[in-house]
Amino acid sequence: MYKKTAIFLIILLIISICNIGLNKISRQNIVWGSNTDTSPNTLVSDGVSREDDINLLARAIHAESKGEPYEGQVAVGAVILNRVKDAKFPNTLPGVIYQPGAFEPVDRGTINEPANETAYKAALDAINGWDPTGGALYFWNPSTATSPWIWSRTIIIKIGNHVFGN
Amino acid sequence: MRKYIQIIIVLFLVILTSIVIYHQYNERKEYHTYLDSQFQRQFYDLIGYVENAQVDLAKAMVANNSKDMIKYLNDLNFHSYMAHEKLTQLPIEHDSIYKTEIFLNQLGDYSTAMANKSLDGEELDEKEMDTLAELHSYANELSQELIELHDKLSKENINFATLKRQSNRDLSKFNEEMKKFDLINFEERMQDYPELIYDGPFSAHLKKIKPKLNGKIISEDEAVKIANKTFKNPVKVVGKLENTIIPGYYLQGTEDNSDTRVSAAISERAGKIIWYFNPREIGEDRIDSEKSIKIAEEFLKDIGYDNMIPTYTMNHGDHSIINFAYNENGVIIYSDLIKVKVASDNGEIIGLGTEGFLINHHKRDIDKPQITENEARQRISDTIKIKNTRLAIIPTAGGKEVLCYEFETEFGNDTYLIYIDANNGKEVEILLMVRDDEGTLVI
Repeated sequence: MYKKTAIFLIILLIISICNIGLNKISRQNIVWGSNTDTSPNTLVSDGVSREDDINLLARAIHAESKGEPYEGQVAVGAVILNRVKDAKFPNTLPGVIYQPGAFEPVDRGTINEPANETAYKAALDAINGWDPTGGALYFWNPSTATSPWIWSRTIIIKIGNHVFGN
Repeated sequence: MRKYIQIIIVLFLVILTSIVIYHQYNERKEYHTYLDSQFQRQFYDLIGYVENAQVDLAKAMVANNSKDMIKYLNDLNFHSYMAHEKLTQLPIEHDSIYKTEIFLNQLGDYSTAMANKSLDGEELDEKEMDTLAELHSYANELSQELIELHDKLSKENINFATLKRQSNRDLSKFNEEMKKFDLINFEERMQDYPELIYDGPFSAHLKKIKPKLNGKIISEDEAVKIANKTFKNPVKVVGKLENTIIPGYYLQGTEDNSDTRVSAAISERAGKIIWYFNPREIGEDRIDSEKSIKIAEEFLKDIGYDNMIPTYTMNHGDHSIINFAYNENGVIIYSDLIKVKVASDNGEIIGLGTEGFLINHHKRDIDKPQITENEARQRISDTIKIKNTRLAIIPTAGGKEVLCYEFETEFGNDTYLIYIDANNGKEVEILLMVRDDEGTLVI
């Protein structure tokens, strides 16, 4: 009887301690509008081009579309960059990626995982202006998307498991 | 005795667990409060910036000289972009506030366009002043509604952080809470918001671009044939590209391995390759960037793009990306852009992007410039060394095209491209060329 209670308590203790670790991780996601460059007027050949931006975009692509076809990964990057240029969304790359509720990997913390080589190449192509979606601002996974609103978007193309649209 | 020890162990564990759980509870509460205060601060900032923007607008309208007006318009630009930035970082659902976001962005953008106009010595006409007045009434309403919303939130003790947490747990409950955040009145009022057309990146007319591509509609089979003629990997049609500026067929390689499968889109009209990717592994470098440029040039000629000249290149280790612009009798047309990606192992074309060219290219009647190259040269500071000059057409942020003299110049250790309007001598754009290991970037 006591033995069972003790085992139960030990398990509870272990779970609690693990939980502390989890709390620490989830705090990493809190990023406060750190980018002060709000001007959308800077003319860059086709968007942004700094090394840290490429890395951030690559991590977002990796977290959102691992295992998708290459053009699907470029497409995810293009959607993010299209948002930077659109009036409906934040005007900077970090602003768009860390917008609350916009991308699941940010809420889950997987955005902090390093990108693989494919995602990095896809990010480069997207930053250099390739856009397989012809200007899409949204993408969703038809089998897991829960918001009815997202289905009211017009569909442009379906690549792999993602639908891209406006 | 044994039982006694057991009881002590269990008691000890109970106390330890309680301490850990209590500690966690406190920590959680701390994060929660921290998160909420950050959101609260952003909300206060948001209201502050919207109020400031509204005051700037009012002052700009009554300013009696263009100097003051430009000052207020510049403040307005800053305050509206900051308000936009704050609004987009609050945990509010996108579809309930996006019209407000458009408003704030266009407010900032429009004020820049008007400030630029004043800087050029032009007075704002009556219509533009009316637009400012109208924007002012919108800004006024928005700040009223934000203040009301804030009152409501503090009265009902609604917590941003709770909202954020709920979104992960119970979607329906979250949506209910979310409704309290709606800027309903303002979003509704935005239904009759005027369509603002001006020279800026968020201008309303930019969405309505019509491609200048002509030709007959092609079939799926023809699309496959075009792809197979251009690239060696066999492909099949797997989808369509619809509801976009250039509709087309979506093709993929027939091989099973999705990591190395090629893909392409071919326009329905005229059967042009819109984009192409070949994500294969690339072996050891054997081809330098000069050779890559040659290969890319040859390739474009082969698929029917004549008169394309390379404008800049980026060397990304195992591949180079070369940008080409159309050359019309010595005038470089940057809007008609084609990108080619060349593998550095065997020189194969592993990427192509022609969207810029397909959307923009048309027969242009380029008028003779009103000012001479020498006159344009005078506009550039003496301390700057001019290395090269040519005529170019560049796109503006508002989607127009301007004929310019392009000066490649040197200042300090940096290379700048300076664009002087070939008709009125105004400086249109300055670009800084960054030369690093990866090649030449233009920013």
